Amino acid sequence: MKPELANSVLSDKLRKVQQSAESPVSMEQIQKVAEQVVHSLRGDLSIGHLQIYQELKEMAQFIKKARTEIAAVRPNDIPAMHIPSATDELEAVVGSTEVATGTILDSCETISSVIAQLPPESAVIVQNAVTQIFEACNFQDVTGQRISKVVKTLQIIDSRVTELLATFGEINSEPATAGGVKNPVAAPPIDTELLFGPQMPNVAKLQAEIDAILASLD
Amino acid sequence: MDKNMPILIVDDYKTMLRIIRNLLKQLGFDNVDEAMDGSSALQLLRSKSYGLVISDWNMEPMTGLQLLKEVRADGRLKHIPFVMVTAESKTENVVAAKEAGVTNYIVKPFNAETLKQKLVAVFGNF
Repeated sequence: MKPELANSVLSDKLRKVQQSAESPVSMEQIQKVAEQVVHSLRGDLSIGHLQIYQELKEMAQFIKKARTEIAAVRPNDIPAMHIPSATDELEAVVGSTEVATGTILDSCETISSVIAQLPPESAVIVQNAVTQIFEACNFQDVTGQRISKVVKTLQIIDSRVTELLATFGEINSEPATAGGVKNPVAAPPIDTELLFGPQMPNVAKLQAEIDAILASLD
Repeated sequence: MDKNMPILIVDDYKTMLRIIRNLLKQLGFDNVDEAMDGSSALQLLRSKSYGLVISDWNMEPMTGLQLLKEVRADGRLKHIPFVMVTAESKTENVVAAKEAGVTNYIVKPFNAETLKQKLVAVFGNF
């Protein structure tokens, strides 16, 4: 096959794939088309043929290697697990600091309401202390804004990773089960696997529930 | 100046509204209304006569800067002193606020003395 014809065949195949695809053509599809063109080369090959063959082969190998390397870092976990977990934690921080700050302000307002009943010298001292607490509580607003910026950055990373995953097509990053066994028995967790950190407020167990679990184990 | 003049504070963080309200109270200003967004603030401004607006910048969907521009564009409101209280501290922020007609600008976190100084700058000693 002449080089020009091989190029034409490759272009036609890519165009057909693009036209028939419902979504942007993935790297996996391009890899398959390249392999089909390579395999379709028959007969005496010129140097031009060999060059095209070599380039297509390298392209297919590169794509295959890239997909293998990407699969090794389990990219599907990023948008599915890590980023939602991180944004949840950050939003929980904002929520809990807001609650705590509200409690502090409640107490300050209570103190402010009785300052007039104090001797003048004491009233000044207490008033100044209360003012300092109000000023210090500025932190909650500023940290909340900083955390919101971080959350937005994480969301951008999330969307970029999702776009990249779509470009490279289906990437199976599930680890192979040992010896081909489909449902291996789970081993007991080791100590470091038990470090989950604080639970989200809506799923965290209350003390009474913990006490009930302990009692059930007696 | 009349310490009983109505003041409108605008911020999407309840905590900050409470802090500013309490600091204003310590300075003797007890007639304070609150709004948590620009649209609500504009509604209040158009329904009642205020002597001062203290507003955050970083709010959605209407930012404090947009609120300031709306106030300055409204013939009935454009004379109201408008103090921006915000974590936005870049030069371009201050310039933009000034060009939009801000009366004074306080960066967060701020203290009671700064608030007092800025109000004195607007109204004179009180």
